[in-house]
Amino acid sequence: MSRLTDQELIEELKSRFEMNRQALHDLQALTGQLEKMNRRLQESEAMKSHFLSNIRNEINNPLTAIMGLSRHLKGGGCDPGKVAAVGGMIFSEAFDLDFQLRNIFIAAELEAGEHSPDFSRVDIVSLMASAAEMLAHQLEIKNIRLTQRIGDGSPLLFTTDAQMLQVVLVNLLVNAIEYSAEGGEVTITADAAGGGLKIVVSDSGVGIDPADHEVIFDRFKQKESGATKSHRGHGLGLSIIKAVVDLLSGEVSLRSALGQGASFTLFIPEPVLSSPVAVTAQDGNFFLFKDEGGADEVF
Amino acid sequence: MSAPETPQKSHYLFPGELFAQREPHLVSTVLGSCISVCLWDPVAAVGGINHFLLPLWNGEGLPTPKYGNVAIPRLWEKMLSLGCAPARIQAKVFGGSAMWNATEGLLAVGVRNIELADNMLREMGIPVVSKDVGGTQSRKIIFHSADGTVMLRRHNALASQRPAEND
Repeated sequence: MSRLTDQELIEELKSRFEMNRQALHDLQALTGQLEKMNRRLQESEAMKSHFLSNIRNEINNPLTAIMGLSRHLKGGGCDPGKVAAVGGMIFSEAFDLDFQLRNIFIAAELEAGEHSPDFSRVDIVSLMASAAEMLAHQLEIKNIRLTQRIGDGSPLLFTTDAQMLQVVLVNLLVNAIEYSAEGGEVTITADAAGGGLKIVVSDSGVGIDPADHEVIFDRFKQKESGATKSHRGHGLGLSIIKAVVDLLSGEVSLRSALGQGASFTLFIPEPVLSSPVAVTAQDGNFFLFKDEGGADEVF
Repeated sequence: MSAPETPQKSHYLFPGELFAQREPHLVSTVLGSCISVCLWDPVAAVGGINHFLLPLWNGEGLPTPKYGNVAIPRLWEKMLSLGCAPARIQAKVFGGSAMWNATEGLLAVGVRNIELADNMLREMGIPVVSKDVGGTQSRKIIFHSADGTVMLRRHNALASQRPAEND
């Protein structure tokens, strides 16, 4: 065994100290992450029990309203103006209930991993128009103006999962409407940019404290919770948006401050080549695999 | 490996997705630091596969199969619901390479993914009959869900072709 010079010894010690320092640093980082995760799981558990008690109100209240209102109509003898008004209220309650239930089912499907993207060429303009039409009644009730802007105004076609994008858009718009004051304004812009699709939904509502930005995408998380909360819903919308955008390999970000409205930016990249669009023929897929040459292995 | 005698359905598995069906499928996916756990019951001839990006769900967003500690138990449950017997189910594990540089130390996501898969499968008592994990290359795999065969090809340049968070 050769003897080390003093210099070599010092170098060796230095490098070992450096390794230790690195390990300690990593450990601290991991411990930090663990603590944060623990906190979040505790919160998540608490939210879940809130959810179970909330769900009774969320489902019962609209149902009770629908039944009460329709019983009123059933009696007959209402003048047409009143019928229209009551009809509007029934529709609004039913829409709300339908939206909440859909979100619960979508969240369950996403958690089960059963949502596989189904790509096709989607006309973004008509997708946005149909989302706006779906929410026309809600916009009307709060007298909110919805402005839609599309890039340079030319038709915008993009390869994505139409149904998933619709879910994201509707949830963003419902949030924007819910948290806007009466007579407010909601803007939605779509643009083909940087090899993907960029959609921005902005509102002039109450805004979100930057301190809450990190947790706002967690499920069952709402600005307020418990019996005093003033907004409907389960706090599933944003967590669904996040999960869907994840599946489409995209990103969603938020720019907002209290009292200054909120602006959600969505970026979805064009699907990569190895998506189902390119490998529909399983035979092609198979031979492509064998013909390339190189290190194929069978396990 | 010869081509399958009868035409088969194929499925491209996206990151964060989970696939298990009774009908035979050729399931393909591309892995960087992600892991695919393939589960297979040789008697029922039913297989399933997941593709997770991160080891643990930390309470952020929904607990989807994007996370290993969600994806593995959920695939297992799905297999059981398709009539597979717990004692017969075998596992194969692929992926978990170091896609960027090696300076990430303990925090390298590929390494943590491998560890999570190893630990969970051991705890659940599922034998790992083969695996190809780690290294620095990405992998494309095709899983034959009926006979459990996995074909694997390594790629060098893939990291630059896909967004990093997808691998």
